[in-house]
Amino acid sequence: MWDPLWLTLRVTAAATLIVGVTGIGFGYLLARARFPGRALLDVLASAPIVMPPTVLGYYLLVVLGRRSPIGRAWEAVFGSPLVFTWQGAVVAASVASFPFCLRAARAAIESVDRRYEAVGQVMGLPGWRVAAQITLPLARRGLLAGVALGFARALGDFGTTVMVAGNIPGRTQTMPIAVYDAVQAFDYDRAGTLAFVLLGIAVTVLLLVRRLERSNS
Amino acid sequence: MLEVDVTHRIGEFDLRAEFAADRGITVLFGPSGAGKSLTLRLIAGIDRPLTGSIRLNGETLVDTSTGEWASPRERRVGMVFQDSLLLPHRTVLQNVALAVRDGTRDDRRRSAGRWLDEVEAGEWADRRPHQLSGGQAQRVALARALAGEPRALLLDEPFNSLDQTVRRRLRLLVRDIVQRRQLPTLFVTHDPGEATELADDLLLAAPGRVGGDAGDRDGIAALARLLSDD
Repeated sequence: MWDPLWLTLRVTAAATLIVGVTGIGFGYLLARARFPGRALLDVLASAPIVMPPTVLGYYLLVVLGRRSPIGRAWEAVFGSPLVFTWQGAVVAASVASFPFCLRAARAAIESVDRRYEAVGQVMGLPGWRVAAQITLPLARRGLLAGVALGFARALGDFGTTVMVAGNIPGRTQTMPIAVYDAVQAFDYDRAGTLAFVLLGIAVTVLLLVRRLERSNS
Repeated sequence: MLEVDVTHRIGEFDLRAEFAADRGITVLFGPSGAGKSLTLRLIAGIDRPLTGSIRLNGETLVDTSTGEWASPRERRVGMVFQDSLLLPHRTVLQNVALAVRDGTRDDRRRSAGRWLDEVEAGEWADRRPHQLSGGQAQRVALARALAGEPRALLLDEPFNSLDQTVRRRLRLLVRDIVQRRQLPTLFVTHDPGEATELADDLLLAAPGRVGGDAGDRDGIAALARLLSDD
């Protein structure tokens, strides 16, 4: 009963960490940097939002599968394939939730008054310190909201995960998949319990974020 | 000595700024939209001029004909804007310490404390910016600008949002500090009273045009008469 819960917490925590770091990093680049290929990056990064999760999962399977260069490289280094493992579930949840965090982070950073950054420049702070000590702290509420959004999306991912990691009880069966499985087996008690716990986690985290935002203001 | 001879363009707006400012306070006086703030940004290195050069004490900050460019850090100028732009997530002391260039964390904090004392803001060191009045916040912003031990001060309508009593007190403070530190200082304002009270030198600005010949005390007096007549 509790296997899916621990697995889901592990996958979601890892995905949130990955998505938080990359989402804020790329959000900063898109908001503040000018470089060739920026428009392409912008479109590609948001593509997962408009794709059906199963289609996204299918492409990930193609790119990460055992016969793909990335899949083979992973297997050579770690000794086991990436697809149909919990690590594969982390990749699936990360890619699916990345654009949500990215878009929120980008909007938060774009809304920072650039004169604060000018003050930092004139003080003589190097670019990375302006970003780390001025821009990002000023955008922190929006960034936190972005990470929370990424977390929520990763927690609930079904289609992408099931394509990339499959539905292996005890190994890759996360809670949303376990709920589906239970319903398929007419085990409504199990489905109801799992669904309620999942809902509880989501609501708890959103309440925590709300409290954090309040204490920051 | 600060020597400026640049042009710049933003969209449809063309700016030509040409002047030299010596030690003491040079007031840039003129209507909003003349390009006074932009001129300060070009001097600080926030924006790059289209053509021309800027020199500070003989050192080239930017020269588009030779491609020379000093980063804002290398320029070492202090700047205060119309808003204090203090970082809300840091205390007053931490805000100023961020601008201190060298030393350990403790050194920087001690140094920040001294700068706060210099502008008579030492007692608010542990406050957050939102706990300060407008005038207090501008004092702290001034301390922050000084904390980088600048070679020139750029003040962009720093007291505009303050009431007259506070403004007068802060003008005296600025005058005092500039005299003590012998800093070339550009002070942007469109308030004729402020201009006449502060100016060692007066530069006039018209839309798209900053500088020309700097006036002397007579010029300022003539200007004041002109302004008080209407």
